[in-house]
Amino acid sequence: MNSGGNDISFLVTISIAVMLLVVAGFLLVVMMNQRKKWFLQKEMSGLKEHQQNQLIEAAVRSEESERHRIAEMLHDEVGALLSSSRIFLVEMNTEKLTEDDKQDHAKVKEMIDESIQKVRTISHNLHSTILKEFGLNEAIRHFMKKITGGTVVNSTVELDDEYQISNAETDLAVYRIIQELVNNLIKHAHPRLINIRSSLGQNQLQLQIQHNGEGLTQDQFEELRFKPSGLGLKNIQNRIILLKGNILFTQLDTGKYTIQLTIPVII
Amino acid sequence: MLIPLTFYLIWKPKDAWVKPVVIYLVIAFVLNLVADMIWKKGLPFLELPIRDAFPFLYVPQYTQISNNIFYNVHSIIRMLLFTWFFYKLDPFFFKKLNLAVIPLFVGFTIINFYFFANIIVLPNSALFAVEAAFLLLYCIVYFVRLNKDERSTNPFSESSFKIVSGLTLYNAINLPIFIFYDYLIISNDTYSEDVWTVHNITYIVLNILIAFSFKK
Repeated sequence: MNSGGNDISFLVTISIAVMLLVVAGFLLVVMMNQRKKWFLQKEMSGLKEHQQNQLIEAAVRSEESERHRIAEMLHDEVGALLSSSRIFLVEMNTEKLTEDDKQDHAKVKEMIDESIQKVRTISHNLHSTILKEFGLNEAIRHFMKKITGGTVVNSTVELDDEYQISNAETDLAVYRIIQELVNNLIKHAHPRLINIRSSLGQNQLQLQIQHNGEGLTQDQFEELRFKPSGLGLKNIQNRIILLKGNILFTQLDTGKYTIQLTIPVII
Repeated sequence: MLIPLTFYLIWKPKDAWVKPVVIYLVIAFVLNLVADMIWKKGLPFLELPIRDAFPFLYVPQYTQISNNIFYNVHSIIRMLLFTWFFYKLDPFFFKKLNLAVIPLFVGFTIINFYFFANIIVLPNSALFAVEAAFLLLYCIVYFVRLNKDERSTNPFSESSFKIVSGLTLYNAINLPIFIFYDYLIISNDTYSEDVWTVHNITYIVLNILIAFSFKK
């Protein structure tokens, strides 16, 4: 082996070592930089999500306070006016009236009674006192009885009574979701039978709505909730996000549809 | 090359950049297999059939057929397929670089083999070195692009990141070997064999990283 050959061998060895160090250092710097960027990005998306949740929460709160205000106004002002009108109408002397006028008087009284009932129902729907006083299970039972009573829709409600009020806001959001879903079912799916079931697991409330109408699949739900007309579904999704829960629409082999709600709760 | 090809068949990735890489792996596997089969009469019964079928492979001064053309062709194909790979990664970013580099590389190859080197007789050190330098340039451009990209993801989960890291390692470490390989063969045969082991190790690392990049 000559000295020229030795020099080249030495040069190649040194070059390989230097290249190895440079590449390793370079890759390390690139990886560290990328990881830093990635973590920053994760942090940013976390902040963005937090901000979005805050916006949703504010929207839901303002919607609830507006419902409360309208319910109060209906109950205290319109309800009171109608009740006063009814008193005047009842106290009216009808003896001198003709038979036709007597019939009209009775009809007006009947209509005022119906109006008082309707205002009360709307007011209760907007702000459920049952939910506040007796909790979620009783509010759902009452709501189902009211909405399906006197219709062709049969409903069964099997709720886990171990569930007590965990958080008033959670209960209100769950109640609103159930309300919106059942209203949608009756309006669009035309079911003959609706069954609501709940079970309390480990820090989790599972609610299942099963029906035999023309329901939605998960894909249809995802598609509809982004449409301007799907405001109700959007509200449902917003409340689900706020509760950090999950909603799943499925069609069973039997042809029935289920809507499964999973809500984390603190017992 | 069988390792990444096996992983490709298992995971069947669908990304746009997979095609040039798989084509490269198949061609490289065939070229290396043929080169190994005729290497120093490794399989003597093939000597005459190959010599009859491809008389241009016979080098009179070696009194045997040469497999060096396969290494040279491998280098040209690797360069072209990896420029395609980079183009598939980001057509907008690599289009201009391809327009500049590919004509330069093709021009260099034609001039080199027409005037200075014989594609059949020896593995061409200059070709390998130029190929390594160009691919290294692509790798650096890739990392610069990655660094500029605001929408960066976790680099360890990025498939292309693994391939380009392997390619950077392979080309950077082998660049000095390729530059001096002609001199090493003449002056110090033992060292040239030893240093080729370094090349083989980096090539295995590259193939392992390609294999892992196929995983989703």
